[in-house]
Amino acid sequence: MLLTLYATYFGGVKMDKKGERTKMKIIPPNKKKCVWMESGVVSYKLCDNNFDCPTCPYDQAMQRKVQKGRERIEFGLEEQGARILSESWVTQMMKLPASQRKCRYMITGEVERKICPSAYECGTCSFDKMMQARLQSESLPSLIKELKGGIKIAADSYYHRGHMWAKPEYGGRVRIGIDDFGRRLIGEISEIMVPDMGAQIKAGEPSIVFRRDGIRIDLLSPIDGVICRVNSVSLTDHELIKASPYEKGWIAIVEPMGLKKGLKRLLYGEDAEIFMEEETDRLISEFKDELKLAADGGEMVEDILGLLDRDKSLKLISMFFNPE
Amino acid sequence: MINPITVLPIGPVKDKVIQNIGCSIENTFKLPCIIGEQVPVPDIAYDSSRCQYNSRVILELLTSMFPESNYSKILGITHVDIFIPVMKYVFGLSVVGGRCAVISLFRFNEVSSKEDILIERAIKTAIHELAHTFGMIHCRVKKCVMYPSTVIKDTDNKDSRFCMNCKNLLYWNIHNRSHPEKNYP
Repeated sequence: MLLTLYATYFGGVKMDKKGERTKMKIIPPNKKKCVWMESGVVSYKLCDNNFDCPTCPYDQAMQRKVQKGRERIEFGLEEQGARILSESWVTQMMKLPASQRKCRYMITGEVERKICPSAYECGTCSFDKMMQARLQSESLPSLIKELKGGIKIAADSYYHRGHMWAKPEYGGRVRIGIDDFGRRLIGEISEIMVPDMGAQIKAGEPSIVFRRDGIRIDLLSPIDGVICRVNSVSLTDHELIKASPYEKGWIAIVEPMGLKKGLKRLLYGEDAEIFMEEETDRLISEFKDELKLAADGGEMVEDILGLLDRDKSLKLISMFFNPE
Repeated sequence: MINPITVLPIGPVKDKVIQNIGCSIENTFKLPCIIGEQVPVPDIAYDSSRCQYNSRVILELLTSMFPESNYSKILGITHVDIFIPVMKYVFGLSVVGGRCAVISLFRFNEVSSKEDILIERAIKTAIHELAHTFGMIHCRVKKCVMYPSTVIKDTDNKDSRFCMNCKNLLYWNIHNRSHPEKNYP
């Protein structure tokens, strides 16, 4: 009994009613099924483009394949025994009973339950429009974890070594912001300047400017893309960035270019945690000159540049916000 | 002859706490441990803007007060709240591979004020800081005593023992590094 339960939970081999072995598909916990898999057209494919189908190379290739398949059937070119793909995921989904036609926001988990009212014509769907608007202005909750020194990290974000985070969201857009370590280092923010909407930003190049008492801090963009929305609330209310750097304190939304490649260059999960802890150690070691001190306990102070003179501040800024 | 580890009360600290810490240190490091004469809390370490004591200054004072020839390792125990500039507070501070460490009992009364719990927390922190002076660094195993604590809950969650890797490294460090005349790679 236990074994069966285990198999049902973690995939592997399951016995069906007749006692025959059937294979089960394993979906990693942070991945979602591609719509082509969801509809049953392909047996296994995970989404790697954030359900942004119009820019997905896999979707384009599959659509071409379906087109070709249809042509072959039309001209009677089918080969015996060969499987010809002639139906796209939309057709396949439409064959399902109406109650099972999941909306794409239900597939991604942004809404609990929503059935597609039209034939997956998201471009003309009013619900889609409403969701797009909502998702742009509201940040989704993140799973926040606390590391050594009280530094917080959001588990579902990707991190650039210059202390910016990027979080891919539904529809292929990416939300960006400053991480907890960065905002503690800067401390009191007097001004934030973000490029205008439509401006292009490049990964690893200065894009967003923070100012603190006349000191200019250039933050490097985590990804390539075009700014499509700026969080005007957090630009005026800097307390928001301090209180919740990963949620309400986001800075901008970017329409990315080459998202998959861009994310590969960033740190995620355990790599990011190790990076943050190393940064904490590096910062502590900056304060203790020749002695190699090790502290146990304690949360990092909120305003680190406030402890330093101008020269030392500039040194730390280039150390932590402009890494090689 | 191995110089003993000295446990030094800085300001008034209960005898029971000191005795318990001393015993645990002897058991863990397998080195003799003596309890030093109480010294006053140094006023020079007080930071009036933070109303806390700078633990780094205390460490420097300890190092200069006790010459290296007579004392191998010194663990100061104080009841005042200590800090380092980047942190709001610290439970303890030590020099990696150095001679001195200091721990504060100030924050060990949080959540629970039972004396047993305070002693347990103090023992874990004392072992953690002393191990730093033997060249040990932080460990990622959550149960290991070398796991870095941020809040008191982390200290409660960890054991007062070392994980297998840290244990081996510690004994290697004690036996090789504390005798400079011995050659080691």
